[in-house]
Formats: sequence, structure tokens, C-alpha cells
Amino acid sequence: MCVATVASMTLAMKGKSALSARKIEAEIVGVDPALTKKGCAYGIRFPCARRGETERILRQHGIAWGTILGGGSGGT
Amino acid sequence: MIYLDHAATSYPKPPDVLRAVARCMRECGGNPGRGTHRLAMRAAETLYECRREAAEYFGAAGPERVAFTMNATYALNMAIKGAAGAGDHLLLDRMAHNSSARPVFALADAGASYDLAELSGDPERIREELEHKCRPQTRAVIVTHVPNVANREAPLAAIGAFCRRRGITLIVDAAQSAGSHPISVEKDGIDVLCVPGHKGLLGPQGCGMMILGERYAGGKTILEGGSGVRSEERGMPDSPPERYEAGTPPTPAVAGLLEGIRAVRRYGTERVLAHESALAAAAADALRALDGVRVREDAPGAIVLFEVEGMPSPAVGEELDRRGICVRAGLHCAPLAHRVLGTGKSGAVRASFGITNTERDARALADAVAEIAARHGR
Ligand SMILES: Cc1ncc(COP(=O)(O)O)c(C=O)c1O
Repeated sequence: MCVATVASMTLAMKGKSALSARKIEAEIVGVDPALTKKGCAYGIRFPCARRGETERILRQHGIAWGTILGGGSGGT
Repeated sequence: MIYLDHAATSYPKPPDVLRAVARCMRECGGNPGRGTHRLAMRAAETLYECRREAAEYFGAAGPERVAFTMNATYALNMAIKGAAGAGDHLLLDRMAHNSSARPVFALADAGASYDLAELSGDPERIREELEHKCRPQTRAVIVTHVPNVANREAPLAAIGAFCRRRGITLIVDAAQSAGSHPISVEKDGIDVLCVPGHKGLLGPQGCGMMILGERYAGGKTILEGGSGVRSEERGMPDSPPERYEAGTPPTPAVAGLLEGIRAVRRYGTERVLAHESALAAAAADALRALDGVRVREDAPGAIVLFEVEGMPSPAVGEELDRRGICVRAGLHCAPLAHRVLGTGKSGAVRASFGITNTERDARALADAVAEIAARHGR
């Protein structure tokens, strides 16, 4: 699974809801503060196989993400 | 008991609101945005659902433009103090409630300046007044959409268009209009819409909202603290809504607010105003026919402001309470507006109608005032 880090819980919710509406299984996770350098953050976990589509949907909804943590769980 | 004080806070709340508050306290007891365990997530979902509903209802660009506050006053303080500082100029509605007047006065004490403006009525006259009173240093225009002691209405779209052209922040106090008057943050050109959750939106006390226009870049924060994100940074997060939500939000109240907004939408905003105006007009007509009672002439709306000759308004309020009728008397935290209406000395009695009131309530008010005035005149 991949995780897109976002700046707030509200954006995480918005992202999850947009992805779910397009049948992409998404979940909100906490992100290791050590990875963001800015303290606590949230991420949207989604299947890496649908990364391109996910990025497009997030962009369409004006949801900026920091990084995409790939491969492992990414969350804490 | 007859409740005619909906302008202060609506009562009773719809049963769905009561159920939602209790359910939230039972089932969503975590702290929203603080962690991702199931109870924290249920609380976060509750906030998000309400943001979504409010954004849709008030024509905002998205759920992230809706920040929760404790009431309209907190929202107004954040909007006004966030928009200006020493050396800046503000334009304040003459019909302002102290919720917007006092933050402006506090800024003025700290080196800002302000002017009062008449912002309800004819849009062309208002545009001229804005043109005349706005200066290069004017940072914000603060409009009372509908005042709490009269039914007049400010033409938001016209004021919004002016503010956009001039790059001035438009802050709207919708404490008396949210839930009864159509408002669109984007179409009306509003930068910050300040609303209480507990009046026309039928939610519980302890919640309000600050709804931001898409173009509004954000102001300074006046409250800092935990936000659940970016804890290593010294300031609040840059982006809304978390920027404006320091500390734990009132999740159960927001759960109730969500159902309150849904109830208003089901009933229909226009129908709310039509219902309340019809009752207020019936009460005003009946009161006007009484000897020794003076009704302040006004536009159609939910409020009737009146005086009983020779009786201080609080005494009339007390007499009505003795007869089981709840109204509010005095200056209603709006001394500026009362001055405009000519009731600045001792205020007046305000009956304000809500969707749960009936014609019987309007008649009961008139009958009780008739009895009080007759006794007093004897
Ligand atoms: C016009 C107006 N503005 C602001 C407020 C303050 O609202 P709140 O009590 O939610 O802070 C009120 C409350 O009566 C009001 O009538």
C-alpha cells in the first residue's frame, strides 16, 4: 500500500471520500512525525497499483499532498 | 410556556438534533483529528460531515473552508482581528451587534481606525457610501446581514462585488440570517461568513462556524494551540480549517448542528423566513392596535420590537415571563443599532419568532401585552 501525506485531517477525509467515490479503497492513517519533519501528520493509504489514478483524483479535488510513501504500510 | 426569543437562541431543538448529540457522546467519544483510532475517527467523521453539509448549504468551495468555533462571536473575533492591525482602517455596520463592534473597538484601541456605515437598504446608496468611506488603508468591511433588533437586510452581493473590486476583505455577521435567508459565500463574494450554530441553524449552544471564501487567503490567528497536525511548527497550520481550530472542538454540538442544518434544508430556508415573518407581522399588527404600545416600524422579518409607554422594557419582559412568555428586553447587546432605531436609552422589548411558533403564540403575546399595558395605564 502507498500513503499520500496531507496537511490535515480534513484534507485526509476529503481525499478518502473522493477516492472512495471512485471505488479506490482508501483509509486514513497517522504518519510517523519523523518522516514529515513538521510533526504529526495524516496520510491517505491507497493501493500502490492505483497511484496514477489516485494522484489525478486528489489533484482534481484540490488536495495537495506532501510525499507519497510507497511500498510498506507507511503509517504509524 | 411560549418561547419568543429565537434571536437569542432557538428552542426547542428538533428531536434529530437531541438524538445526534446523545449518540455522538455515546458512540463518537474520541478526540477528532487527534490520532486515528476508531473513536477518534468517528469524531473526525462527524466534523467532516458537518463541514460538508455547511459548505453545500452556504455555497462555499468545499468542506475545508468550514472552521468550527464556539459561537458567532468567536468567529467574528477571529475574522476581524485576523484581518487588520495598527494603522489599518475598518468599516463597521451601524447596525452591528457588540460581537463585531467590540473587536473593532479593541483594534481601534491598539492603533487601528474605523468608520460606521449604513449598510442595509438600497444597493446603489450603499455603494456610494462604501466608495465615500473606504480608504487605501481599509482592510475589511464588517456587515451585519440582518441585525438582531430589526428586520432590515444588507445586500450582500452588491457589497461583495464592491469589496472584491477594491481588494477589501468582506466579513459578514450572519447570526440572525443563517437558516432563514439564502446566503452563498462564493456568489455573494464573502471572504468570511460568521455564523452561530445555535440560532437559525437549530444546533446546540457551543458551536458556530467561520466559513471562508475560496479567494480568502487567510488572516492572522488570534488563538493558538494544539491542532493535531504539524506539531513541530511554532504557529498554527497554514491551511483552513485547522488553522482556526486550536484545541478540542465541540464534537457533540457539531453532531447536533449537522442535524439542525439538515432540518432547515428539509423545511426550506425561504419557508422559514415566510413562516416567521407572517407570525411577526400578525403580532405587530395586533400590538399596533393597542393603546399605549408602540411598535417600531420595520421590514418583514422574524422580529417585533416594541415598547409599552411609561414602562421600562425589562419590566415588560418580566411581566411577560410571569405570563409564561419568554422575550428579551433591553439593549440586546446592540447599543449601536438601538441608537439608529431611536431606542438607544432604555432599549425595547423584542419578540422573535422561530419555526416552532404558531399563530396562537402571536395572539398570546398580543393578549398578554394588552393586559400589561391596560394595567399599567390604569
Ligand atoms: C447580530 C448578532 N451578531 C452576533 C451575535 C453573537 O452570536 P453568538 O451568541 O453565537 O456569539 C448575535 C447574538 O445574538 C447577534 O444577534
